[in-house]
Amino acid sequence: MTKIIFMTAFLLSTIISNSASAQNAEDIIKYRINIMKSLGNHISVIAANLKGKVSINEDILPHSQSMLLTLSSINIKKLFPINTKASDSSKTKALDSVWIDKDLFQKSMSQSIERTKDLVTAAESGNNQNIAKSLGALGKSCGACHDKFRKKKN
Amino acid sequence: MLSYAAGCYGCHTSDPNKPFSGGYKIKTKYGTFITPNITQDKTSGIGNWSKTEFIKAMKHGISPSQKPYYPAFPYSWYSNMHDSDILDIFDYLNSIPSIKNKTSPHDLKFPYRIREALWLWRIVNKNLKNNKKGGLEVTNKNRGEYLIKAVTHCSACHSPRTWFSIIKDHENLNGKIETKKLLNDGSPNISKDKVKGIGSWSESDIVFFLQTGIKPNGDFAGKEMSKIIENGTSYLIKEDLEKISRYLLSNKNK
Repeated sequence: MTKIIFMTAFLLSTIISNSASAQNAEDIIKYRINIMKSLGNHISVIAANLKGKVSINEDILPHSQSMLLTLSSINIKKLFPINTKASDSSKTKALDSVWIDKDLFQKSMSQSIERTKDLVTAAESGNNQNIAKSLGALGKSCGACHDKFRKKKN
Repeated sequence: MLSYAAGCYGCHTSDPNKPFSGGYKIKTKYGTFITPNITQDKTSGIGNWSKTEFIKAMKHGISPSQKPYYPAFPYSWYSNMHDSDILDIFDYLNSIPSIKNKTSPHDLKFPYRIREALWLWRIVNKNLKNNKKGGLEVTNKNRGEYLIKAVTHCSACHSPRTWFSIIKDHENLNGKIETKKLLNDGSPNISKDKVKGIGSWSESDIVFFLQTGIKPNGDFAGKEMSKIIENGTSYLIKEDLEKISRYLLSNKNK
């Protein structure tokens, strides 16, 4: 009888723990997708001003600063835990290289932070030509990171 | 500007300190192409070429020693270029410093390394290709089409190819799927389809993308397109980029 109780308890705890872990993984994936989307939204706001679609140029600086704050606050270990790999979930586009080339991933992230600092400096100057140049350089840095660490869109 | 927009700088430069001196590696499923030196150096470059030889190479893909070039060199597209534009490129290459740099031969798999087999490929390509749009005149009306089909050769990457690597329809810019992982030879759909292509983009979205690599949703161009933008399209003046955008959003782009 005791054996049966122990076995049942063990099985239940395994099921609960696995389901909690899976749920947690899905939530983290959604969470980091939202962070990446928020960065994209900031860029779209800045770009809309540079393209002349809107003329609310005073928004460029706060959105550049928000991007810098968001990128600088990313904790790779917390945002990309090992149980959120693409091989474990179809919901993420993150490639396994995120976990294999951890140092390179961290370095790429740091480079993007540096490029965002340049963007903030350009935004402070208010010169749209410099802002476009800095945004292009940031785009190149982010794009290079996506190439190595994000699944291609078909 | 044309030497950049047509991809000469991007493909013939491996070291930015030695522009146009070749050595850039293009990895394909056929092996690796290594681009030659096109500076005016008389031994390792094209310093001994005449204007006629340069035009023949650009428009017909035939070297001064009468050898066919591999189609990795997009002469099929350049065949639509005006001689005056080609000679502008020749003059520009004459104006920049000559660099001595003997590049390695291509590293291709068998049977692709047999250059003579290209004569057969050329016959098949000539019969199938639909890229010769003769009579394209540079007017404000069709300059966008000219830039796309002759100069920037967008369909080289964005049109599907047959197993023989021939593009059947240069007006189909529906992109293509990567043939092999890590080759990066896949490309997105840039037709005017609103869902699959770029039909939902505005004219200024396309111009901005070709200047900076930033998409309307705040995402970025991939590695290969970033290089093309940095070394090519970003050199085009805004008016030309607007004409390209107008063409891409027009009914001519299926």
